[in-house]
Amino acid sequence: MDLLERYLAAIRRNLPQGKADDIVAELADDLHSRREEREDRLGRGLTEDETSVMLRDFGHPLVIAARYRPHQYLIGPQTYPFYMFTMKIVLAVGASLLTGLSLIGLVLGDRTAFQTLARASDDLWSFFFLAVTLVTIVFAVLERNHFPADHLRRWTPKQLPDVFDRPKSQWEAALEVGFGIAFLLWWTGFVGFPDFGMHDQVRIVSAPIWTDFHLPILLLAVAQLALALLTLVRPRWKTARAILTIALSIAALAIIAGLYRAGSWVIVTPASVDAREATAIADSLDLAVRIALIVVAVMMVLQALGELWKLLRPKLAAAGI
Amino acid sequence: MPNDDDLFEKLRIELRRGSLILAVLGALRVERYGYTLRASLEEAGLPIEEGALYPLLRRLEAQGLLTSEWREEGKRNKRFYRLSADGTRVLGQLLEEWNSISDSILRLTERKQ
Repeated sequence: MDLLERYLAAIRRNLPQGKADDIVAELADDLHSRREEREDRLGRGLTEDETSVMLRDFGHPLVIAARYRPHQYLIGPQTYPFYMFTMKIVLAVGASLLTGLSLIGLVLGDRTAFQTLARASDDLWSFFFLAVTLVTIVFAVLERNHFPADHLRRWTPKQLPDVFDRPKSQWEAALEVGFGIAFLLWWTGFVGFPDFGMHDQVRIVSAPIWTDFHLPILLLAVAQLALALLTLVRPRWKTARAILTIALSIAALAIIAGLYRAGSWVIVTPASVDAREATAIADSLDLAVRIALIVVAVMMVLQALGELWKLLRPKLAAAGI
Repeated sequence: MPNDDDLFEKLRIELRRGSLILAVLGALRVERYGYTLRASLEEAGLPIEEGALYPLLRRLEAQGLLTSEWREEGKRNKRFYRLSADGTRVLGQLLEEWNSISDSILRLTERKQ
């Protein structure tokens, strides 16, 4: 087959169906005219090498065909800053979570530092490729659905946080969103945490109190996630955020009080250790949970008081107090 | 870092890219097919990158600025393009804009320091 026909066939393969015949007919006419002009000038037919040079000058078939497509890029310059921002957050939050879980595994489990490092690097690479792929696909879809144009049209500078307020940084809010999603996935049983060992010595399960409080904790976690998302996308909605934070802190305190009254939060069944050792492990774990509940309760009180102060401060200042 | 020639070439291409649409619309006040249009642009000192002209013509046609029809000439079917009524109006507006930009650049670059 003539080199020119092969070239046109290569372009046709990558053209949108339905337009291919029309486009190829037009390109064929141009290339034939071009070849005839050169042949007239030389007074002879073009050699295959000369035809090759002419087609090479015209352009690679993939590039020529791509120019007929409405989208010639995966993520355009308007979407790119949003894409990079999201990518950084997703990778940072994911890497922090995985690293944190690996460290917990190292402290609680029976893995060596080398095993932990090997497992962590494996998990991080898998997460990295999955996150890059998913974020890229999501933004490629958004690009084709006019996301940047719509977003930039709606955006106003009034949404920016105040400079003097030390708002929660977007990283902080993004981390909260990441941890919130991870917690919800675990709490609803979609993912399991890594095995932290000790299973050959004892069997540890949660006490029935956690089942009783499963739904309230789930609802609280969903509300916390919504609050973190609100902080991330609407940093200026300070009053709404403060009221929600106080309400959620009070709800969290009520749940903590209910949990605390149970007095025991884990059931440890001995496997290869004797009952006394199992009881000691149970006591240690219960003590850890008790301390954690107290610490979280104190944090909730401080958080609620802090937000209350933020709400009242401008009013007190206005009243001259 | 790009050398001065590379940088100039890059800036020159950017500068010309925007003006090519104006040149194409201007050249199509007379009916032409792709090959003769490209030749006339080249002759006028505005060569267009190989393979870029036809997608541009289709885009301008889809935007309603050009009309086209297939006709036989020189024993081959050719697609002839010309400016539509909308294209004539838009060309007038673009030329006004072009002249305004040109005046502004001249005022800015000829100002005594």
